[in-house]
Amino acid sequence: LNQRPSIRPLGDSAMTITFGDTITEELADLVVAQSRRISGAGIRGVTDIVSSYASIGVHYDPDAIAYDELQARLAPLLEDPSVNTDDAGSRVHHIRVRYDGEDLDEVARRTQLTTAEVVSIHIAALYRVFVIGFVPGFAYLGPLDARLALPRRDSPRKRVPPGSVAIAERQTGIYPSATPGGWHIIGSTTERMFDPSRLEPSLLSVGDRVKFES
Amino acid sequence: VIRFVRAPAYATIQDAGRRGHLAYGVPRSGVMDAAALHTLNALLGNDAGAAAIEIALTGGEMVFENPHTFAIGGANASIALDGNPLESWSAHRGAAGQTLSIGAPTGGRFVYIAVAGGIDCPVVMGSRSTYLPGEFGGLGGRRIKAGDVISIGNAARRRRHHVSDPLQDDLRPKLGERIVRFIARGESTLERSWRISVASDRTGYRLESEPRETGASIVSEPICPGVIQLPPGGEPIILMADAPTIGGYRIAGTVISADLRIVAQCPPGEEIILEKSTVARAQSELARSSEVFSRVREWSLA
Repeated sequence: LNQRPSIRPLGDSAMTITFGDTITEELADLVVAQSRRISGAGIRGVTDIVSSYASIGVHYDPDAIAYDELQARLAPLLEDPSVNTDDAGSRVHHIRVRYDGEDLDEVARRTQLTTAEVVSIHIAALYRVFVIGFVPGFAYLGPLDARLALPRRDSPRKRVPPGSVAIAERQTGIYPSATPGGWHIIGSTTERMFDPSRLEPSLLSVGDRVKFES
Repeated sequence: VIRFVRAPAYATIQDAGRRGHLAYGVPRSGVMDAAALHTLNALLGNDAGAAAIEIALTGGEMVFENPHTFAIGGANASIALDGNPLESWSAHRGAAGQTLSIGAPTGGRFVYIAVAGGIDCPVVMGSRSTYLPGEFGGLGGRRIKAGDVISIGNAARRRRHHVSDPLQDDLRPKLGERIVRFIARGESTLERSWRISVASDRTGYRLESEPRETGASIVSEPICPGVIQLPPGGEPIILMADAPTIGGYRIAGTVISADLRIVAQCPPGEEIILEKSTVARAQSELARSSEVFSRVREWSLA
């Protein structure tokens, strides 16, 4: 974690800043802190800052700023490795869930738990938004309790209804729109996770926390 | 206003794409052939990124309900106004009641209909581009169908009538082995000839060739259009306009922005040759093309 991040081009209009290659909360805190630092610098020509598990994508308009210039602006910002834990978890969203998913019984059977235990384990944790992707507004939440970790379904569903709350491996998430999906559906929410007509279309941002409630 | 009488199998409204929402998993979207859009818009006196209609697979037919100036370019296609053949890459006037028919794209995949004033539709997250999987942008997030009425914005006064022959020649998709430049990430063995697979859409184009590359799954990283992914199967994927914002496959490099349209217009079965380039060269290439477009626009405006 103490080693310097690498800055590499991602084509001619973006660059990747890499801090590591693992999924840990420590790295995720660093990614959130650094992406806020970059965003706060207000560098002209930067159009998008995308945080992933252990890397940040900085997208820019090469007509406004050249690669070398942007790299020179970013390097000193990244030298500050401090992580302010207060702002890392600034927003907590409380999301009401009905644990009525069609895979709930199967999840209980495969994890050798009762459905009530599955629900109480899933609802107990405060989850972190590690990344947003796959489809607009889909947040990868974690870490999911190891007792509930299952591989993805052998054959993905062609259509998972919007609002489905699902789990796979050490992650949980909420499908914002109807898409194909391979996660195990354990519940549903009426919360609109993504709405293109809202000022802030995505309910969740990377670094936010989510607490499920029933 | 333009009314579609017969809709192409694929037709959507696209502009220069979305910026500022990648962090929420919203793809950039926008036209597959940016140079075609920019040039047609310049010719019509529009902003470079004004929205146009992107057509693929089959042709269509539309009626001008009001008089409009329009231009068509991208892949080749037969064009006729009330049955009289028209040239592409030229500005034409459609009178109220006249029917514009366009044949299926040939020698490339995407044809663009641009109209003076630009296609008008609600701006969603800063763009008029249609993102079909998300069902937003353009006409209610869907393809254009027969009976649809398309609104047009206010046009600038203009005088120029066609794109110069050398520029046209540059813009027309060419078949045969086309060189596509990319910026490599790490050691690259991609510098050879590749066939575009039928498994290609606005999200990504799969490439076929022997021997296969060594792919891998990785902890997901930010990605963008142009990125060449290497999945465990070893068949590269070049990400296109509707690419997701993060991806879990090894990144082997990124096609330079100026050459991504060559890939976009390449029909399945055609070959491209990948060749290494640098960020500096790619960026000066972009600066050069934006200069060309601003010159075309200057000529075009009265």
